[in-house]
Amino acid sequence: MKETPTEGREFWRWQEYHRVLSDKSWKNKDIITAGVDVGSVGSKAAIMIDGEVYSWAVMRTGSNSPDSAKKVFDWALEGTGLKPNDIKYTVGTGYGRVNVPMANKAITEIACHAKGANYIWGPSVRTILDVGGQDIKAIHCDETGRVTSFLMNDKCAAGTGRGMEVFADLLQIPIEEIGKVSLSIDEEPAPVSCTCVAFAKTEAIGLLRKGWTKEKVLAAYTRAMAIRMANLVNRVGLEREFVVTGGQSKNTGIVSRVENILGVKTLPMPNWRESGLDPMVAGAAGAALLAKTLYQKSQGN
Amino acid sequence: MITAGIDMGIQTIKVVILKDGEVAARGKAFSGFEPAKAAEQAFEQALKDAKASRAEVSQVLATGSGMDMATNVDGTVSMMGADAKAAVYLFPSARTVIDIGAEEARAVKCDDKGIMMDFVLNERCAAGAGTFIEAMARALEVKLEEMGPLALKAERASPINATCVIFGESDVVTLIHRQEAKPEIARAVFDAMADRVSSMVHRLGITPDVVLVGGVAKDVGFVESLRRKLGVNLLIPENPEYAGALGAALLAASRVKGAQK
Amino acid sequence: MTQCPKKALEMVTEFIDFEDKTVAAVSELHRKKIRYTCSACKPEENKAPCVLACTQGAIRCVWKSL
Repeated sequence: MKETPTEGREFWRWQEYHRVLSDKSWKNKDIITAGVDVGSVGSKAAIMIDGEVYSWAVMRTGSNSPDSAKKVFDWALEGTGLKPNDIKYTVGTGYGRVNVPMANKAITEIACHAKGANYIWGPSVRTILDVGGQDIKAIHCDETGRVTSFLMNDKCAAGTGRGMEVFADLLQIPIEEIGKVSLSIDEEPAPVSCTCVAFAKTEAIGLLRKGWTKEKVLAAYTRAMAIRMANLVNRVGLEREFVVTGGQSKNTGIVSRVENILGVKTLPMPNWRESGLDPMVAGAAGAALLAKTLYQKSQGN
Repeated sequence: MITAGIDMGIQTIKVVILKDGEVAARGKAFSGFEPAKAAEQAFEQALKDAKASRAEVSQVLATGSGMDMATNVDGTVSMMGADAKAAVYLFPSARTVIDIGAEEARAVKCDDKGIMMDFVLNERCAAGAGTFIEAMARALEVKLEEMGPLALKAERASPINATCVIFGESDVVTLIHRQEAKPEIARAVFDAMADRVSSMVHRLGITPDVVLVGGVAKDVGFVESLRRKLGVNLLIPENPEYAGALGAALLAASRVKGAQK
Repeated sequence: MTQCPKKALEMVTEFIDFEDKTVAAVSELHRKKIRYTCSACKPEENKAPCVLACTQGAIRCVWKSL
């Protein structure tokens, strides 16, 4: 597994990574497809062999979307022996989907996430909470991973990955640990009163001055964000089974609180490192799956 | 008759002392973490400037988001009511008042007597208020007071995320990396705010004359963008940030007069 | 679409169920400000021109605070 080392004091910078499942082989397999999900904060790519994830990569989106698409796509191919030409069909998705130069088709991330969640957890999934870098989405789907309704908020940083980055930076806690740290408190404090990240920052500084520990402040903020996410899920209509995808899927502080507020447990996090079922790349995986179907259709299947 | 109004703003406390219908003195202090104390200090200073003692003040009313934290006041009034009263006092033709503060923005409709008839608030969101400009100034590495003049130099506005301070900051950083010129970015910041404010005002319906108050009204960049967006003339008083406190002092005077009858 | 006084709706192509379909959608310009754009039509009474014009009943207005 290749990882870019985190830079010293940049607490908000999460680790980029790339994995190849060594127990799979693409030789003599025909349907090799790719999905590239260019988000506003993170870019993800997944390579699938016959509809199963083989390799994937997650990295930060730079200021140039087409560049990010190419970089993450190339990184996903690294160590597989595959060349770009070996990919039969690529679907681009995400906020930068119109800028994925190697894509045969661009499909909205809502459709790709639903498909990806269906792939990762199976046909029992009905409600998906996807927390992206700059938006939060609540998606309702059927047993085939087809979207039946959705709600999105992309006007406000509260609850998004960017919002969490701001807090990780403010409290000087590495972003990969904010979940664990937010749960390391004896008693759950009241949530911060401001959902606005800009105002919550000021509120947090005030609380720290009053003697609140970092853990408690983080817990209060995380709870406020979880309430916001839970509200969105309730508005779309919560139906079991319920899952969380996107960057925050790995934030145990968020997931456990959302479960607690909604009174419903999410399906368990798969052993993604070994199985390739990584919730953070649900969009790219869904895109790669849709790529397979589109390829098969084009071949007259 | 001497009355006073204290505007417990989230960032700054403003005080106005009214003597026989004329502004005798103004006071200001940062709210900090102890707004009640700051209010007392600002009030004392204003009293000194007005050459009046606390005992001579017939009535003190507090307003602003922190109004319930004010000590030694005779009551509270809503910011909307205060804005309306102050606007008509300053400009008798005022019928719509737009108040943009550090953390909140509101639009108020009033009648010719300064009675508030309808209002619209922005939610607790930094993007619709002064905090947005401050944050963008920081991201641009420009002094807050330079933002306005800088924006006026621009010929067009760069595209930035208008709905959120956090997203907007990321956009500004990206634009600077792309060597986008600062005047164009500054102008984009004000256009984004003006867009938001004008959307809010349209919900209320615009009845001329329109008065603009609040700290942000002092910023030439914002005023220009708002003028362009709304397409109407804006009346702006001197010391626009004191409108709330002035309105509270005026309402205090009305109450005293009313009680005297 | 022609009924909307603010011209907030436009025809777009969306890839749905493995097909490119043409649907009406709110234009990107209005998308994040739709509550202000729509307020003039008093949508809470569900008699807005767009709601009445859509024969499929696909447009609905939800006007409440979170």
